Amino acid sequence: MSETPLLRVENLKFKYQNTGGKGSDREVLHGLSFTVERGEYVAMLGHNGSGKSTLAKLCMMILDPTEGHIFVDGVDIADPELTDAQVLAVRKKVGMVFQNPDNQMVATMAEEEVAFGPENLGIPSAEIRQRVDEALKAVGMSEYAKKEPSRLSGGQKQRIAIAGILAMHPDCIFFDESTSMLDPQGRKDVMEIIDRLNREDGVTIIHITHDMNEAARAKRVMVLHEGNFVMDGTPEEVFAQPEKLDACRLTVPQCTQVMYRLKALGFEIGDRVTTPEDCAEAIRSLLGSGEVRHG
Amino acid sequence: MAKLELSHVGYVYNPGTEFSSVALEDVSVSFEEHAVTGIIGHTGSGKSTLLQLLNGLLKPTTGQVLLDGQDIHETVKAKLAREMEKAEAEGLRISKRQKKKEIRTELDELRKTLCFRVGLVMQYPEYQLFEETVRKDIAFGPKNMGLSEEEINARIAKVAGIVGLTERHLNKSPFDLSGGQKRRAAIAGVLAMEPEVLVLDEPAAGLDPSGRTSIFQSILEYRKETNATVLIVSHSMEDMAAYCDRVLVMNRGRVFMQGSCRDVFEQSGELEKTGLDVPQVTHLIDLLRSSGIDLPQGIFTVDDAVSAIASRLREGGCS
Repeated sequence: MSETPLLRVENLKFKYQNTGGKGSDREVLHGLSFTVERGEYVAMLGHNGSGKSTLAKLCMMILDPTEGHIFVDGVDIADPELTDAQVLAVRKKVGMVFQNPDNQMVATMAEEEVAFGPENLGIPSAEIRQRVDEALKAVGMSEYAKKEPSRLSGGQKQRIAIAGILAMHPDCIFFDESTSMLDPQGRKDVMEIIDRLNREDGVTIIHITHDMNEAARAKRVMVLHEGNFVMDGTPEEVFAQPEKLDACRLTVPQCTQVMYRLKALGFEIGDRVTTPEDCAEAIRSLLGSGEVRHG
Repeated sequence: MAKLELSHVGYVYNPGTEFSSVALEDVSVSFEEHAVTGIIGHTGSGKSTLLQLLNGLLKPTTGQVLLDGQDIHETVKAKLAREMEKAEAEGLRISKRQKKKEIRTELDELRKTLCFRVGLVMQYPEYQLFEETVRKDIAFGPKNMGLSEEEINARIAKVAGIVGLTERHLNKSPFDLSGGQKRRAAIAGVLAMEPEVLVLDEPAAGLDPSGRTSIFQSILEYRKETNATVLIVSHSMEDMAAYCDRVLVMNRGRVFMQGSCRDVFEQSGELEKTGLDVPQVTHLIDLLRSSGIDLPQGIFTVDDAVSAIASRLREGGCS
């Protein structure tokens, strides 16, 4: 094997312990195994309650697995013998941006918010200054450095939250429905940042989302259903199976639906298309060929 | 007469202080019975302020909010003066004292029932679930309306049917439900008050595609059964296109556009300027049109897009 995968999960099981007294424990993950290589851009889909957020929390060491192993850069984070230094090393590598930015804001000034992570990692203050400035610049929020987070819009808050993670220089970031509370402009800004982090800085991205158009921007789509992965492939491969997605209570992007239905009407058109641009191109070239045949 | 109307409404937060900020300016819009209107706009465009004006949570700084033609904030004195003037113009002689008493009763009743008649479902309403069982939670509103137990039970059964909760769900603690079920239970609590105007702020936010569909279907079913006026705030243009009859676009505290889905999504360029989107199929049609392919403007559903493209392809000899 050439390189240790950034994330390797083996036979991961997780049960929520029933604390209410009645009923039994609820197993939400039934033995997941998968790997994510350094620099991958993964969209993780699944209906509400399918176990996506549980999986992210396990990888973030917020929850402990009931059974199985999670290796972050070769270190088993489920090992109870893990030393504090090892835990800290893992925490530096993986960051997470939540759905509601208000849930992860602690400071009264945007730049202090961004500095919170690196401060806790014990980084010297001169370097923190530099990291904060870089992180704010990366999300286009430099001019808001002195602003109070509560006075910012949802999209701006989410960009500050992302900057707070970036300042820790993680190798991998989990985005847990990080765009679902934002308006269209806020979504657009955050999606552009996610794409760029992966493309230009090689940050490994695991984006949990219900938005199929956003998922189509990833390089790999994984579908979690009832605690197991049922699909795993490129967006084109996954979205080419609308019936299977429908059974998982999911859907496909509107453009993929258009292509699929045109194909069903007998047009010779591919259905492995996920963006409006590719869809337009496919229709244009079909029209072009038709006109040639026609003439 | 429109069911609900805003007439030249303005709203200023913290007026007369240094924090004073204008949230709404000269907003005039009306909502008809049975119509589903989608409200869109970027963060800070005034949508949330607008919603809170509708059931009297906020009082407009200027202008009026009218429910069935009655200004919901009109004072007894103002209404009396208006009625007396009207009576005089018609040459009628009426007792001022008697009239005043009638008006006071009428306006008191209006204020007391306003939050039942205009039902507001806030964002993430499941955070407000608090009772021991789902049944009790749904009963909270109707109980406060002073309805009989028999009537309350009948209403619970009815709304549970509309939102798709079973007897088993009703007896559970709301905290033992899944995310989508919790959302439906919270919405049922508002529907049980049988509001004439149902206002929902991002009712499907955070739900998976099938959860979204079932929420919107419940809303449409309620509209069908009660003829209610429905207002939905959403950031999803695709949902707006699929479920709304009309769209109201807010921008910087003003009405930027209003009309049918076709009227509004036809102007995709204008929408994008205000930081909004169009449904993905509308974007696709725009791309095809801009490369010279003859397709109609204002397509916003997958069905319409497929039939328009298919007929164009057939004309081009592609089938």
